[in-house]
Amino acid sequence: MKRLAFASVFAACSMLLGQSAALAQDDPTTYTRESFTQWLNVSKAAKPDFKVGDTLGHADLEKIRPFLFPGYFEQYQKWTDVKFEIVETNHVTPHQMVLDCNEKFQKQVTLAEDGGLQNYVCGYPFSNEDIKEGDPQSGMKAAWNYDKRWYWRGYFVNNALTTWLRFGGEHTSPEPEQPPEGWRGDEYPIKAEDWNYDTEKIYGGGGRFERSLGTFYHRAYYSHLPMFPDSNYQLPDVADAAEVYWKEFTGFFSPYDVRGTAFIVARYDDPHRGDDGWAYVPSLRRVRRISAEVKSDSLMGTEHTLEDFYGFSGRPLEWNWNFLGWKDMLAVHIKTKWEDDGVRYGGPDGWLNDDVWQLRRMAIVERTPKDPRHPYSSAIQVVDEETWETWLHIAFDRKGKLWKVWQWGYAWSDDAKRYTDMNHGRSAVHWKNVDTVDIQNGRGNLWREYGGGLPDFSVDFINRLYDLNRLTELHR
Amino acid sequence: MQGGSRSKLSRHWMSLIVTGVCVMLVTSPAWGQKKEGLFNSLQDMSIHGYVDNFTILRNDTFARDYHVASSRYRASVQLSGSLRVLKDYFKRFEYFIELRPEYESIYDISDRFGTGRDSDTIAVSGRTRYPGAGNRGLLEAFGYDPHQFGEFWPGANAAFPYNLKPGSSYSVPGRRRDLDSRRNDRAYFGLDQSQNDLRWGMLRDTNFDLYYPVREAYFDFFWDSFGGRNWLRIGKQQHVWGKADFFRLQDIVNPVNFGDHFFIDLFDDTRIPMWSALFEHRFGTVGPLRDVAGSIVWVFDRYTSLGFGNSAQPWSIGFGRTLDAFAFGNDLFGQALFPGRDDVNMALYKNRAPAWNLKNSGIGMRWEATLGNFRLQLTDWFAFQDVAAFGWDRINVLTGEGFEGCLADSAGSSIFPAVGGEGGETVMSAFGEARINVKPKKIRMRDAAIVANVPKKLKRARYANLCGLGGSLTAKYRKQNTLGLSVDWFEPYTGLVFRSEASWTANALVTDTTKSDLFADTSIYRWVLGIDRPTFIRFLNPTRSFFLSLQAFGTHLTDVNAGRFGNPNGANDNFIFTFFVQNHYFRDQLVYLLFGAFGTTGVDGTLGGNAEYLLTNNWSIQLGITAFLGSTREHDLTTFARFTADGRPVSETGFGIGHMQAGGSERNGMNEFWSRIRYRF
Repeated sequence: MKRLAFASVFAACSMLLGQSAALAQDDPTTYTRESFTQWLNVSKAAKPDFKVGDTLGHADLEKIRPFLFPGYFEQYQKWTDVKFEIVETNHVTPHQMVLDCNEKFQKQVTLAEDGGLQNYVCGYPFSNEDIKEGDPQSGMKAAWNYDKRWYWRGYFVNNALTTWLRFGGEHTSPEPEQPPEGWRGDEYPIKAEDWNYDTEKIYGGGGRFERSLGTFYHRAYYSHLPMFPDSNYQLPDVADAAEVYWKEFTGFFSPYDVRGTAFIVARYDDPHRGDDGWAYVPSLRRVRRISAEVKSDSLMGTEHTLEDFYGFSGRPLEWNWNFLGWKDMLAVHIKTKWEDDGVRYGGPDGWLNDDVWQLRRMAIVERTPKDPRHPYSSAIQVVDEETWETWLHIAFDRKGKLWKVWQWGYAWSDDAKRYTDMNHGRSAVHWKNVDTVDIQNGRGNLWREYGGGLPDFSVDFINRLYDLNRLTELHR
Repeated sequence: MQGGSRSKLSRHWMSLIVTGVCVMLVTSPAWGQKKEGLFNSLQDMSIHGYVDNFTILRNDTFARDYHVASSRYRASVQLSGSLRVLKDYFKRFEYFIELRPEYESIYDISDRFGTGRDSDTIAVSGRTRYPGAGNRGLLEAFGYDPHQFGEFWPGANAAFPYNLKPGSSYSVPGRRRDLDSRRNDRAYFGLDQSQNDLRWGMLRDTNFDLYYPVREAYFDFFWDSFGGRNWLRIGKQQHVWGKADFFRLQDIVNPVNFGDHFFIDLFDDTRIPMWSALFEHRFGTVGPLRDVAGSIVWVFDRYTSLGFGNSAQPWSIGFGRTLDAFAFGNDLFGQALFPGRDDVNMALYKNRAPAWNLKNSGIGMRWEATLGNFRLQLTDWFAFQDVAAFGWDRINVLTGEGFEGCLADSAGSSIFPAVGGEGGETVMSAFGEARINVKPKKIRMRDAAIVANVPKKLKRARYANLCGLGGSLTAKYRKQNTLGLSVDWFEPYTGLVFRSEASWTANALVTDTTKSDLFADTSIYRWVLGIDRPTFIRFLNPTRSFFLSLQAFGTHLTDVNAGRFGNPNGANDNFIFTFFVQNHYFRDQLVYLLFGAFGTTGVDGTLGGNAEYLLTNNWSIQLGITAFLGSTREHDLTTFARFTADGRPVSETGFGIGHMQAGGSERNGMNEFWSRIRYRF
């Protein structure tokens, strides 16, 4: 009995000590790739100690540690009045066209010896059941599922407003500007009631904002489109649809020094073929051929590399992929309580999610660059099993130290309260924010969507936008 | 119309600007509301631009004579937007206006530039100097104030005075002069600009005297027809062709003002916008070709040559000062050497620039297409050449004692035409008897006894050097055709982007001092091969690649003599190599670049670099350095060898822009530090 009492006292003391240790702030700058393994081993099978309807505060943080990536979790330790409002998981199913594609074509898809995709037509190349822990091919399969994720005909945003952030301090909220009318066309005019943002509320919390960048963006998929079975699942009446997977138009319109800069990048269906890129440089007034293959370069000085877009937008065969397993994660994903469908930021550094949280089952996928000179030694993404979109994403430097942490925000198109004409009926996800921090240097970037969705642009619009000659008409 | 009714047009533009500004002030952007109609469209006008100060601290070889050579304040206000009118006709109808007023304060803070200086001890900036004893005496003898003059080619064999006083008319009563429509003396483009013109940048050189401060103003119309998409841009605009940096092979529709900051500034800032129309038809895909477009450009603006700068400006290039010296010297030397005569010209007396009419407008076309991995651009530009060729209308020849070999061939037969008409007349000059006003081509120069023993190649030039006594120099222009082809492609294995550009200018009129009248016809072939590559140099910058760019540029002149004698280009084959490196630090807040150019003909180069720090979204500061490496090059002076110090027929000359070489030959001794503080909005 005495032993039992002693053990009880010891256990209680241990819990108290453990609790106090947990409440102390961890230092993610010391984390390594090994730290992630330790976290994964401990938390892989963890069951939540909370339920739908709970609102967890700072004192409850240890309950959610197993459900957030290390490095990201610790950021919430700094936010003393944080609230985790737990809501029902928003289960979604992609459009019936995608399910039909899966049904019809999934069984014929195989991986080539080098990991290339064979016999792929449309939909998801592999079923989730086909992606299993311990299977050496599952990493590559997950990569292809991610690469071919359902995104309607492509994403469009009037202004992906980027803000350069430094930890600590205060900020003045940036105001989103609309892109030049000539860029966005007139097929999806912006309604006054949609373009109505309270930026003081959006950019809550602390953090010092240094600069901002107004970005117009469109990605158009040219092939593997379930809605075009009559044209071999390719964009009809487009000459190069058979060879192009997608094209991107990225244009910067504020501030003045970058205004008018625009890029067109083409990704080809052949996974071995390098991307092509062209840039219009206002100071040269020329369309310049660019090398789009240095994807580990920083994007306009942000914490993103060019291939960090969407979580990963590089070419899958340039990386080795490892599937680390399925896991429940606590996420802000395809559900928001805010009326403008977008993220609201909070926390002392002004970049953390202030929204509703759900438990979602996700795939943890690690990618390691084949190029030994790549600045990352590896990057790990957690990808939702229903949307195949990224929620969290971390990268390690060449020494294996935790370097960057991303939180991604996605919306479910059919739930859109704004810009409904380019969202409803798509049954797909679209991007709404990505917020990156450089853990080692205490800085980051906030990218937030203003006026985005999944439009059904006419082929004529797409042909106009991606005509290289069009770039020559641009000006500041 | 050249040079005419400027004040009236300026007032017209100013009133438009005032109206525009009023519209801007009474309206405010209403985001999200797409309203139809002209006035509502203007409410959504985008207004961007900058205000900056640009200052140059110039010095000689970074060791001495540090002085401020420019401190310019400039504002650029750019208004743009869509006009939601005529929607039945046009898919898009847009406008763009750039107002760019400026104030160059150097004329108010330094007496090295502009009107002149009070003290003999203050050097003229750069490779010029206060007039020496000879020129000083000459100037004073004719009632000029030497303080208002500089002397260029100071390190060489001939030192000609040029006038630093802006607004000079070069008027000597009774002299035969070229007159403009206002019956005013007109030496050359822009040489009679006032100090106020220079101060406010209302320059003829930049076609900015009539429409100041409207630098660009155009409308864009887009509509579909003829089975494709059409684009019409009409107004004052820049047309940029080709794929080469620094070099203008296809990029020749608009002239460039080298009198601003040489080639150190971006062409975007120094290219001279012209009133013109661009029509482009986009065909889409045609057979194996993708993104096919054909366009026609028609420039109907007043003829504007390359900008060489006014002599009183800090950045006038050598050729600009040559123009001034020769325009001025026409009166001075004519008076000095032929006293009592008012019809003997000694230098540049006429600028035969194309008049402003439809016949003299320029027209060109461009085709662009993608074939496989190659993006091709084919261009053709038919217009007056953008730089004048200098030559003789008439020459004066010494024929008196000691110059008998100038009159006859070795057999004793006269090489001159009969006196009268194109044969001129015999008069007495300060150097003795001379035949004046003879048409050069009527003289059998190569047969002159005096040149019997000089190398055959140089006979004509040597004749002029040994016997000539100046003449009537004119600036001529010819319509010429330049066919250009450029291509770029990406090589994925190496990550290299290749850019190649070539052009052929047929029947160009150039200066060749081995010709009797100094004029020669030639074809000019130019080519550029450029290689770009974004490259990580991890130990210098682990997260941001360096943009590396190398270029090789070649020029080949087929039908002229070029070199020390002949065309001032320096050689029939010129090669210039350039490099360019750009990188970013601190999340792109610090942008820095290095560039260099090396020319084989001039054995010279330019090295430079600058770093810009973006303090905020609005404020930035930029610091730069430029070093000009190399030495001056000497060139045949034609008949002006009479005035050389040591009797040699060569000196550093500037009968064309060829002597710019890779920068160092032109600008050595003019090294600089510069800064730019800019507020953007």
